[in-house]
Amino acid sequence: MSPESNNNKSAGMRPGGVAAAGPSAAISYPKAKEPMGLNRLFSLSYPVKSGIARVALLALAVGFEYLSRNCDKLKKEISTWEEGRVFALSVLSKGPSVVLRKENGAIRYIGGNLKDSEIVFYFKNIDSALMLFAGLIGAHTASAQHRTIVHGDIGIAMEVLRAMNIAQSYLYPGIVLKKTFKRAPKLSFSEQILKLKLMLALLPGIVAAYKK
Amino acid sequence: MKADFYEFFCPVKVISGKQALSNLPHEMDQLNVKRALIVTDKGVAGAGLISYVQDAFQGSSCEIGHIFDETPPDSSNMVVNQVAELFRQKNCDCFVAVGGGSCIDTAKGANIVVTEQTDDLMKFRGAERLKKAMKPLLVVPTTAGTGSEVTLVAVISNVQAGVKMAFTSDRLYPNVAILDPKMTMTMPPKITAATGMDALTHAIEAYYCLQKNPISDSLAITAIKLAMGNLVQCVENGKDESARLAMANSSLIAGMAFSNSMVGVVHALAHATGGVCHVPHGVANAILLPFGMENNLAKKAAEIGELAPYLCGREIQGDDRAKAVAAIQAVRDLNKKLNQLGGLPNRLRDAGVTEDKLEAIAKVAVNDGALIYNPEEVTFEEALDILRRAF
Repeated sequence: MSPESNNNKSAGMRPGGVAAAGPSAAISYPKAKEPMGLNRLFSLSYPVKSGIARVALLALAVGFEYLSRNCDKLKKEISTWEEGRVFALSVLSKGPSVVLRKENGAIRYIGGNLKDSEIVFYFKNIDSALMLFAGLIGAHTASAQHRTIVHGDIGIAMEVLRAMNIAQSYLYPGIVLKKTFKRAPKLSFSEQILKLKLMLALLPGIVAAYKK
Repeated sequence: MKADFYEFFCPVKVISGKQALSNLPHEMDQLNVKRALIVTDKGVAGAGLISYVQDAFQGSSCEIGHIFDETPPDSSNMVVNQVAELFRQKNCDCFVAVGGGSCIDTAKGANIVVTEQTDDLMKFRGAERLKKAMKPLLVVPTTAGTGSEVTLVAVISNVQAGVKMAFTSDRLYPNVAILDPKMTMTMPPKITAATGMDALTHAIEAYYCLQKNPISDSLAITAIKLAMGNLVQCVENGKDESARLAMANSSLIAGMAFSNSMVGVVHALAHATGGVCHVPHGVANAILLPFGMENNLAKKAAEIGELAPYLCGREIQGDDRAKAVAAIQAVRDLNKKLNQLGGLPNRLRDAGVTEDKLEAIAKVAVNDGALIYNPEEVTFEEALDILRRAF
């Protein structure tokens, strides 16, 4: 046997170790790298990802409720909304949802049934939702990348989106806001205190909302 | 350019050239339909353009079921329902829109009504709600600006609710777009200038807004080259067939670009200016375009600067900002030229906007969906500032 017959060429292999296309060629790929950091989220099983998304959605809902009573910026933003406006966030096609309604001037979480929602922000899949909740992308990037779609009136959706941005500015750390917002909001001292209070109220709020 | 993540879709067959309209019945046959409902308006019919369409059907097995020529400048749910009813009554099996954006949107809206078997379009507002296969839609544009012949969008007013309903869906793309220069030859210079600037605005905003991608970029640049090389000729000499065809192509290609990359603050403000003060969309876009580009200068100088050679007609020396500033100046120079040649207004005050309306326009603009895709954040105060500068 010549030395050549024992090398990659005779086995239909290219010098780099990747098999050439052919009926008998076996293709060997290098093993995919384990995802690092936050990207590990995407390799979790669907039920786990769905659970994380549900908790994140509830955190947003609880934050919305709390801030709509205590944050002047959000109160001003929703002051022009009609009473009874219902909007929702949901993950397609059978993922978690949260539905919120304006009641007595504030926002209230009313469960997960989308039936009466005027506006629904849909994530096209669970990974897109996780990208947003993990602070990897902002709401505008999610729209620009077609990761989210809106059902309903676009003008009303823009109002809701502005309100959601205010809520998010209290839910995420500054470093994430810097990365995900077009213009990162700057919170005053009193707003930082409000953020702290919200953080303390968040866990019991999520637990209570989870039971609804 | 690098793109993190994007989608691109445009399933429209394009037929462009002299006598392209003659292909209309053949294209209907290819789509396995025989009886067309023509959706047009009085202006198009009065200019004799529908007779060209009728001529195209001679010697073909396809026929015109009905001609609806009462499309208003702003399409409404009532008109759409009327067109859908005619479609059923006359046993038509496809729509042929002949006209500008309103005729095309009316046909798209009527198609939703017919396909979904509804008379309540409100249920379908928003993005990607249409799932059923729609009736074939063939489009023959008679303006060169909207690009609606290749977009997934339709905007229809709801008269009762007093709102503009926006629909976006892959199902709303027409099947065929036919660009025949004889269909745009009768456009007066001022409308030619305004619609041409609409196309240029689509292309420029598509190039620097947030949904931009490598495919829309190449389309946007081609559209800009065609517009910069032919718009002035079309305004100067409306009978220049080759320039007219080039502008029709510029509009279509810009439509493909912005349908996939979306537009930004210029369109948000132009939609609002149209809604509040009834300024034609192309005129508002033309006036606001340089101000919208300036609004994004801090974040998108590199992208705007990349357009300088195409807008200025020569290489520009200097850094990104210098190139971007030159690109913006080139748009201003073009506006000035079109003002001299075709009477295109260069300021909002010259387009019928009064100063007391600026706040109302800004208020509407901040709720326009296009703002999501603008690279720079735009608050009410900033929208008002742009309007004041353009006033």
